[in-house]
Amino acid sequence: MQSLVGPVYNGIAFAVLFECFLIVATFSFNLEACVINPSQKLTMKSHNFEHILLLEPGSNTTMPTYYHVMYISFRFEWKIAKECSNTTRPFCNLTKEYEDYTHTYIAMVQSSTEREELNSSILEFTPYTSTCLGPPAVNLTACPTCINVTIKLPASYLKEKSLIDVYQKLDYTITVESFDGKEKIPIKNETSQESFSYVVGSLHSNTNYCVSVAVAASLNRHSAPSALKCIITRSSTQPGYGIIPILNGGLVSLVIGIFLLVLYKGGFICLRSKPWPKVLVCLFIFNLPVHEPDPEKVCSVQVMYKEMEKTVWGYSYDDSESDSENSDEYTRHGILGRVPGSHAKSNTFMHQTTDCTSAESSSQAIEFLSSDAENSEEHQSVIRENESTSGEFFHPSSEVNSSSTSGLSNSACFNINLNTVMLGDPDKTWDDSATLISHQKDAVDLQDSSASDALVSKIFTDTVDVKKPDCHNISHEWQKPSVSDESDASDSEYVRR
Amino acid sequence: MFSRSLLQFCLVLLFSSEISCLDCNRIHVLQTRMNSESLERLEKMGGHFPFQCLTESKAFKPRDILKLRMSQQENAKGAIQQILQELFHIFNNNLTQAVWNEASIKEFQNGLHQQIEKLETCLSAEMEKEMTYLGNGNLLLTSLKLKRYFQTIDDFLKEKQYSLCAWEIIRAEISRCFLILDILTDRLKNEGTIFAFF
Repeated sequence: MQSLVGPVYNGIAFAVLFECFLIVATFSFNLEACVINPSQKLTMKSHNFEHILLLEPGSNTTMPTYYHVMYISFRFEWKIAKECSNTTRPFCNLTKEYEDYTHTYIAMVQSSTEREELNSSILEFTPYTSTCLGPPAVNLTACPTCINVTIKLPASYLKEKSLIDVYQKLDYTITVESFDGKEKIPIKNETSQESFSYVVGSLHSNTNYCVSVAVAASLNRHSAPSALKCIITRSSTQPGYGIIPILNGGLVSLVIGIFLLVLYKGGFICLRSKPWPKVLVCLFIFNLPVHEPDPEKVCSVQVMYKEMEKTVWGYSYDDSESDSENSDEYTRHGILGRVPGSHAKSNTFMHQTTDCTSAESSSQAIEFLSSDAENSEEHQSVIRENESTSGEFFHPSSEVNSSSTSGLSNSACFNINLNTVMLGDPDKTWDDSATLISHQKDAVDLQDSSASDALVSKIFTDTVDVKKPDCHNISHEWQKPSVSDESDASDSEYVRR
Repeated sequence: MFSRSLLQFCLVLLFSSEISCLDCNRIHVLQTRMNSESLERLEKMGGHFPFQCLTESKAFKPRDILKLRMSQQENAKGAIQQILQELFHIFNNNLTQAVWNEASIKEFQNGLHQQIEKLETCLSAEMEKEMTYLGNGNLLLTSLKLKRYFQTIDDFLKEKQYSLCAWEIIRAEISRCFLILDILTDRLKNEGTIFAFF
């Protein structure tokens, strides 16, 4: 099968080319020469139905030759050409004799001298098919890339008839010559006017072009082309190369843009503009082995409470009657903030020892501790009573120097190892206090103002392990302040969530 | 392999030339070209008109076919077809006495036959409609005129027993037939389009 495909294509291609050549060849204009010389001695020069019979003189030119012209049309009688009987002129005008142009005429010329009668010769001639369609009148006007050709048919020598009347349909051929070469342009003129114009386009500007026009009929291919007329096309003075092509280009690009926009809006084209979800971003970051994070500085902090009288938190209850009011006014805002105004300073002496792996953090911690020791406020971490999040709030005391506070918040010292956090009763020694080890137990230690001695900080290690029943308890406790009386009493009250 | 491609080449030529001529809307172009070709072949068939036959030509007096005038409503297709068929019929007669070249006679006959065929493929559908057309009285008149004209030619040939001079006279007269054919073919393009949906 493969072997057939190649030759098939070759064959078809060649055939098409050959066929095209044939078609072009057949439809090309075959214009014939205008001089008819069928006989040896007689020549007919006929242009636009003006027929002049040329009589060649005999070999003997010394003596005058008399010519006698007779003609006959088929089925008719012999007639004598009136102007050419016994004339010495070597030509004869037969225009009026050949009136019926569709017939075939035979002309017989008898040449004779004074002494002897020379041979006679005949000439057969059909005006309709043999007359030369004469050169048309051509006028040229130039435009930048074109030439406007005005063609006017020559007048015929027939009585009251023009060439169009005779032939009804005429074909014109315009030949354009330039330095590039010749080009023949056939025109099928559908109008039966004697004068019309044709625009030859697609030309170079500022070039010399020479134009010639020939006229022919379907049954009469004898034509005399007009003389070459030359003209130089004007230079294109227009600055723009046509506004219309530019507009077209803009319109097309606009249509394409609208189409793409419609596709985009319809969701067929997606530009990845949506950001990655945050979870995936974190995963990507964690998976990147590009940068080694700094090793976590682990500091163990031991907070020792020596004495505490009062701790005031940002709760909305009075200091004086903490017991009773605590239950009443304990709100569920949580331990979010402190109201410094309602504070009663606690005389807590806090001693913190830190054991930092890094010197930097230790220095910062010591600095803080020293400053903090003067103040009664402790550093505490506040846990937000929020089931959903495990927010961690570090509220440095406001009395602490802002400098140290600010430094503290960013201090690495307070990357506390969660496993070492211990919660317990401030009265007891630290060692005796129960340590909060397990992640599973989440306890919030809230102390009321009166009995509270120390702040117990609790860090939620794992919110996922929050037990639902604990939450219920807490909420239950919140809503029923009477229940919370028991919690108020004891310092080491653990509120379970 | 070359012979195969040559076969394809010839087949494509054959088919494409047939196909390209089937466009009925351009039939007048084809017919015009074939008219001029037939006229050339007719003139090439013989030489000049023999002088001795001039006297006999007086005996032949047909009506002038070029005086055939058709009204505007009439269809030129029928007239063209009739003329071509009559011409073909004439040249099927006894041509032995004519001194023309056999090959050129055959060429002329083939050309005529092709013209008739091409015209028939495009006009067969239309002709049936024409016959039922009510205003075809003028069409019949033209047809009768043509028929009488060609009958005159036929009678002349029979009378002169297909002699050389008779044939030369007829040949000269038939060349004028092509002039009227040319005029009628020109009218073809004005006579509406032929729908090629069949």
